[in-house]
Amino acid sequence: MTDLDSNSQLEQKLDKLLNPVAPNSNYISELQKKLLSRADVSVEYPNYLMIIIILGSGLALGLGLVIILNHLFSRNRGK
Amino acid sequence: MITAPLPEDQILDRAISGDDDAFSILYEENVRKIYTYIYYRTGNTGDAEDLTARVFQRALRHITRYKKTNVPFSAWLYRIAHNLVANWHRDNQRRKEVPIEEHADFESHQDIPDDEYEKKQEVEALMRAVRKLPSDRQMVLILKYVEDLSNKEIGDIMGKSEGAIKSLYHRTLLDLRDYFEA
Repeated sequence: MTDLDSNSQLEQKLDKLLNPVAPNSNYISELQKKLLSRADVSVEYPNYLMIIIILGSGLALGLGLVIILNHLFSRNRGK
Repeated sequence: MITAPLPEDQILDRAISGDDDAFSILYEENVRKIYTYIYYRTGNTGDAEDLTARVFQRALRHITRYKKTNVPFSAWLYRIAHNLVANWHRDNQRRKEVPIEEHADFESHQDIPDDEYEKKQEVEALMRAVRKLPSDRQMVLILKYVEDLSNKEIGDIMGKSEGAIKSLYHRTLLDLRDYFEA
C-alpha cells in the first residue's frame, strides 16, 4: 500500500470517527444564566479629596486660632 | 413584528461595549464549538463542562478589551480554551487517565449493540493516539474534522499561515500512522 493510500484511509477513519459533541442543553442554559446574572461588583475607594479638605480646614482653623490667641496674649503682655 | 438578526460585526461591537445581551448571542453561537474542542482534548464531560464555563467567564471578563481584526471571534475563544486546556493538562499530569469508555457517561457493553460498542472502542483508540500528539497537532485535527474548517480558517485561529497548517497536518497524519503501525 502506498503512503497516499494509507493517508487517505486514515483520513477516512478520522472523518468517520471525529464528530461534534453536543453538550447537555440544561448545561448550556444554566451556564448562560450564570454568566449573565453576575453581580455588579463595584470597588469603593476612599474619597481622598474629602479627607484632604477636612484635614486642610482643620489645620487652617487651628493655625488661625493659634495666631489669634498669640496676638491676644502678646497684646495683654504689652499692657 | 419580526426583527432581522443583527450582523455578527454589530453584535461583536455591542458586546465589546459591555452589552450582556450581545455577549449572550456570541455565547450561543460558540458554546458548542468550544465544548466539543475541550471535550476531545480532555476526554470527559465533567472537565469539558468546567473548562467551557471558565472559557466564557474569562471571555466575559475581558471582552471590553477585545481588539477586532479580520480573524473570527471564535479564534479568540479557541485560544482561551487552548490555554486553559494546557493548564489543565499541566495540573493533572499525575492524575490517572480514565479511558473514555469507563467514564460514567457511557453505557456498559451489555446495554449497547456490538457494532456501536466497537465504534466506541475505535473512537477511544483513536483519541488515545490523538491525545499523545503535541497540543497544536491535536488542535489541527479537531478543527479540521470536528469543526470541518479549512486550512485557511485553522490558520486564522492558530495564528499560522495556510501552508504551515498544511504541513503540520501532514506531519500529524504521519505521526498517527506511526502510532497505529507500532
